[in-house]
Amino acid sequence: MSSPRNNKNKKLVFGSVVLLGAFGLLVAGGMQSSTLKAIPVGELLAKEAQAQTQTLVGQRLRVVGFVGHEPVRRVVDDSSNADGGAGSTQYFIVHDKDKKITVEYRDALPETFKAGSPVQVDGVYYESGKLRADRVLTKCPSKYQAEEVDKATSDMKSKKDKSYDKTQSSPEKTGEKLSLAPQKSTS
Amino acid sequence: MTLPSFGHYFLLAALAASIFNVGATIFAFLEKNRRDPAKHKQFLGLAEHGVHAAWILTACACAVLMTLFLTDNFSVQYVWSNSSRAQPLLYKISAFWGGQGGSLLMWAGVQGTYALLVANSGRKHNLVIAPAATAVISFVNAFFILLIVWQANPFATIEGPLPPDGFGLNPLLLNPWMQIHPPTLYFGYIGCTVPFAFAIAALLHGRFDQQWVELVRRWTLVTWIILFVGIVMGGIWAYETLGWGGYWAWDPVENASLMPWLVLTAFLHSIMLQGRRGILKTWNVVLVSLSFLLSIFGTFLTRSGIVSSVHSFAESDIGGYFLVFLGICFLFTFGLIWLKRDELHDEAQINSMVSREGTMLIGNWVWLGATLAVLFGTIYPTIYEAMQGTRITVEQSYFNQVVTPFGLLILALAGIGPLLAWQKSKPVELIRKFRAPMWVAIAGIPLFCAPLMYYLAKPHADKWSTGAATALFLVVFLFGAIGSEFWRGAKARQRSTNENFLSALLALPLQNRRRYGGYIVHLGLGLFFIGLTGSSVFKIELEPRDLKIGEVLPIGEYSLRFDGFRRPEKMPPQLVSDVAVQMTVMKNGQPLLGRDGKPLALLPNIEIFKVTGIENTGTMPNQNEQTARRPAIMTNLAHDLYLALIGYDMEQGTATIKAYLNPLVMWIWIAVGFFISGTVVCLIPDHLGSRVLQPRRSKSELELQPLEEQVGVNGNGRSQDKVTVAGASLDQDIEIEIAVARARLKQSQAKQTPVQTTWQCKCGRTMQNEDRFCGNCGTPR
Repeated sequence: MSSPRNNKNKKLVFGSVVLLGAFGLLVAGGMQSSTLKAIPVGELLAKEAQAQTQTLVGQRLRVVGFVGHEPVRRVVDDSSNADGGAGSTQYFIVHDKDKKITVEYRDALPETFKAGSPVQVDGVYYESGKLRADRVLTKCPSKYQAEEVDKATSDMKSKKDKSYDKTQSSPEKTGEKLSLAPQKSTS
Repeated sequence: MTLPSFGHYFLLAALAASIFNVGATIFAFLEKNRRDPAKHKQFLGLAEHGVHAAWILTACACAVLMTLFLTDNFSVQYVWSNSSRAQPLLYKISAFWGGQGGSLLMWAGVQGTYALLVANSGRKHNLVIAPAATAVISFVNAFFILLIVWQANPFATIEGPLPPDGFGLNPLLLNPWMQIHPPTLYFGYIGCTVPFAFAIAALLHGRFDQQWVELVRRWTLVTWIILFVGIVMGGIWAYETLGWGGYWAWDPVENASLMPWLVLTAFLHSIMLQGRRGILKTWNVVLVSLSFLLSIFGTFLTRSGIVSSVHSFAESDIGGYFLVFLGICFLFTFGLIWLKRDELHDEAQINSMVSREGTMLIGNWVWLGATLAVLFGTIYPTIYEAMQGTRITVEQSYFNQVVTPFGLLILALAGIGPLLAWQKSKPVELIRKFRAPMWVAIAGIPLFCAPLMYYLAKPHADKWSTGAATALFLVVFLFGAIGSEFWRGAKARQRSTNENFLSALLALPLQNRRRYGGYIVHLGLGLFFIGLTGSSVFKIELEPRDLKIGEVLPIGEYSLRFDGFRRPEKMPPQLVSDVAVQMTVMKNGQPLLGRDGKPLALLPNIEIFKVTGIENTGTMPNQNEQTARRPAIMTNLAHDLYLALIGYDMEQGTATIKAYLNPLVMWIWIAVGFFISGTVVCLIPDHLGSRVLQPRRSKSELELQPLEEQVGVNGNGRSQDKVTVAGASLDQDIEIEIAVARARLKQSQAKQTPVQTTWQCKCGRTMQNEDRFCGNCGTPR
């Protein structure tokens, strides 16, 4: 092999290694600061009972569960904001069967936020049983999974559509199907 | 036989017709190998009938489903779950693609249309590779029809008593964008199959000639722009109706449509290199296959539920089918590329990275890198769960953080690339070409970047963002670069044609439509980045605030006065309630006046929809109602004032308002206009291009015009190479183009003058041309 060609190959290999390295660092760096553990309420409290979760207190988590049937408590700030209007904090329960945590949240709750609906809350687990959320997402309303429809028709039998029967799922299962973000529409 | 079962049988027949098309095409080529041209032709004719039949049958199935929707046939489960009696007619139509089965049926319809278009254009232009390409599309379509028939049949009926009313379309889908966004996105998304099909056909035939490059480039451009418009429409929809103040959330569904688009963008650049220099052939085939595989993979991601959890994947049958199909396509494609690797030898190589080719290649890596980063972020939770057993989620900040550097690189390359010459740039040339854009960029720092940064950052306590500053600087450089190219080009054209400057400038995009169409898209990219930077980095978002009537909420330079509740005079039938709050927009203590001279008020509202078709079980209050917040937006070139009504208490006279001030969003939509017009310029066919914008000239020059338009676009073989001179600058390029056009005209005129068929000898005898010696005296010619 002639030497200019060899040199070129060396350059090529070197270049690719550098590029791949940069890409890897970029992606890994992004991942490190942007991933959240998702954990069901039950599991979170069960771990706590085993006294393992001292580590989880103070961490940023995504907690998955169902909106409690207790009404949302809304506390309006005592002093009005300097620039007008009053902010407020909302407190609600996220549960998984009998396991419950209290979530506080200052932003707008999603439109589909209803008692009993599956929910995921992202935020800091600042104290045992208490989470200060910065984002609350309810189950996406996309009809591809069509939970509402499934629930509503669970006693109606469909004739041909096999997949329809199979997608019917108990609330426990749907709880595990929470999507990452509110999915828009169809696409 | 009921109507729904007719639909089902139409689909089964369409499936058979698609498979028939694939089979007949395969047989045709087997016959060709046996050197039986008559049978080859016969089978190809049959295959074409198969495509036509499949299209008609799919159209019939679609018509049946549409009829079921329009006649409120709630015995069909799909109609029941997506429509209701009260639903307005337009939404009964768009409910067609509101769920799994119907949207897959639309997929089959669109894909069948593409197969038909390819088959017809193949016959019209006598394309050898068209039958194979059609068969590839039919094969993919057969898979989708199979999926509909087996797994997501929209014609399935409900047993037992007929439900009195349907469940209705999801309120979030009751929006005018629902009528246009999904079909557009589908045409773009499914369009990825066409360039892929042509690539596979070319591999099978071993034909990667200039005709193929031109064909694939045009199809890709069409797909690319439709997909882009579809994605943007989705963004506008989310922005205008979902009420969270943004247009892009890095949601898996969004990512799924973005990834093929990114790959297509890379492909559009690298196919140019293949056309010009005959390089990157393997790379191009891989890219175009990747865009197709990603479109299928994206569909798999969004429909199987795998992105949210592996558990739901196990429950969903549809995902498994996609995975198998994806595997087959992957193995087939890359196996074929491996088998035919000898056909894919490059005719040249890239000599220097400081050249048009070099920057396009780097750009390709950047686009592909961005795609991989998005892909990785989208599937990482799934991989992690499969390996570790616990679930994690990737937040939006990952995508913003990782994609930003790629975006800035692309922005830089979009300005640098057009300044570089093909093959290699001479240092003197480089300095000459970079001088003007650099001065523009430097002058832009105090004149444009700094004031804009100051204006944007002021409400954020003068927040500094290096990324935003870099982006603004690069945008100014890009404008300088493209502007100087237009200027230089117009000057050069003026020298050659004696037009005035303005008409030279206007005629320029038609002289070389690809180059200047591309430049217009690059300008659009610059504007796009201005909008993205402003609205992502410098967005103002207030927490929801409780306001009493008369209270004022300041945001940025505006303040909003809550002036009470408004209710519509006539409630649409699908609504239970519709309450709006009147927020009067004020600036400097005075109400802003609208176009009609009245004070400008924004009316964000909350609509409560009836959910029909289910009994209220009474266990939960308001179970059969669904709430939708409709934001109100005031748009101008500087920013969008975006208000969402979160809640209200009419007795107490309070409303909870969430307000956003999103700077420069308008520029994103303006940029889309540039993208579309640039693409249209690229797509103007030759015979039209020569008619549009004829410059006023003498007669002989008028005759020159059509030929000039064709230079560098058309012709057999790699005509562009003849025009391309290594390291030639743009003005030289343009002069050469015009000179070549003139030379060709002369050539064709020479051909038209009656060719002398005889010659006359000195002795006076007339001889035929083929006689080399005189028959009379023997003198040689």
